[in-house]
Amino acid sequence: MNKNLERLYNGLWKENPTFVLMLGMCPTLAVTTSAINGIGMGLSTTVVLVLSNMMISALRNLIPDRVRMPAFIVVVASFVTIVQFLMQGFLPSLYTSLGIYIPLIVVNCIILGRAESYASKNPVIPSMFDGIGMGLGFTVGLTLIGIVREVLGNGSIFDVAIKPLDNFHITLFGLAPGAFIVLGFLVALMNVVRRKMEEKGRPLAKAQGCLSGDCAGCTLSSACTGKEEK
Amino acid sequence: MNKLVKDALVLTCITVIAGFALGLVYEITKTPIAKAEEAALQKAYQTVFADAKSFEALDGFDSNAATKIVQDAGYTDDTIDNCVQALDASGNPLGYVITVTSSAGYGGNITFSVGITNESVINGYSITSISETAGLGMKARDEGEGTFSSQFINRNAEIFKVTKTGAHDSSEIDAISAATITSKAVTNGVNAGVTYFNSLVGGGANE
Repeated sequence: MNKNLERLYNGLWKENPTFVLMLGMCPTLAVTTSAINGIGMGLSTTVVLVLSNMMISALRNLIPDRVRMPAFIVVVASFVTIVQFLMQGFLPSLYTSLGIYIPLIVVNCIILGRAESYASKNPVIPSMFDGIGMGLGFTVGLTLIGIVREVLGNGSIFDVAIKPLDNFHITLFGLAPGAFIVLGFLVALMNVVRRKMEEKGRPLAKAQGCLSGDCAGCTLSSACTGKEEK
Repeated sequence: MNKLVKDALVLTCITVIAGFALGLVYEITKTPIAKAEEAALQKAYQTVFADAKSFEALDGFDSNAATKIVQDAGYTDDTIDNCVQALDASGNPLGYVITVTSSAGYGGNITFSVGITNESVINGYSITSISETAGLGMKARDEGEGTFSSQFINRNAEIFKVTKTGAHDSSEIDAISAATITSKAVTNGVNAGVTYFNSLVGGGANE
């Protein structure tokens, strides 16, 4: 399997950002009120992720190590704003449905996480595929959570009502507490899978997001805490 | 020391280039964005005033003065953003389209346009910006038979009241189930529009 396909597989399955790496939980909680929202947020993130991965990979030899964080953030924020302007001007109908998610992309740690752990160390083309893989993996994750919350919370799926479930929906799942409940079950499930895989001798990639308890799992840990990586 | 200067220079370069790129994209997209926003607004106007052929800005309209009128009337969460006159094919005024922003929504501001004819009949509202909870407050945006928004169509322009026990008289509006905050925000926004409309036809702020 060539390297580019391997990156796609990696993002979609092996290191799925939502389920395995537990990255980007903030937008995950916020936008998964319905399946269509999950797809929208996932795809807009994918576009920004691909662009920023390519740019950061191209600049990887120019950016001094000590100022890489602010440099990455400037690149990511610029791309987000450019995508927002272009969408607003040329695809207004798409902007009306996705507009509220676009500023959220800047604070999405998947983008900074991939810039740091992959794009800053690899050539442009593999970085692009890494962006596509991670982006699609994120899209799939958000959509699945969105489907669960939409079915339970609104009795519908992709805005199509399911009879007779739509009369018996649990509104809570459409609101913030529902997001935490679904996420809690998800993390519990992933912990079981993680343990099973470790017993089999094929451990999953480490969780990188805040949900790993402390910042130890994060590749940016040393930058934030001043502690060296173990 | 040299290393520090070099790092700072590289970072400055990246920031300046990014800044220029942003400026460039902003210049390119400025006109299309303005056009797209104008088109969205026109579409909202057309939705709430299907008979009208064109819309004309109201002479001497001042958003601050208009907002003050509705604030004084007790609608402190609402601002009047814009007001245009709906004209028929030969340029005769048919009524007004008033754009209201309510800050009393559950998820922030709700902006919508209300069409009111010169005969004081409400033509309904059309939302241009909303971020309420999906499946609950978002229902305020739904159109068609039996929806929340359809309750405002062809109603006499008066002050409406939200009720949770079924609307009985002409001034009552059925709340969206489990979304009373949104229902009240939209209804009070419409009330603010009606209040401003009354001040217009009553010869208040404008002759």
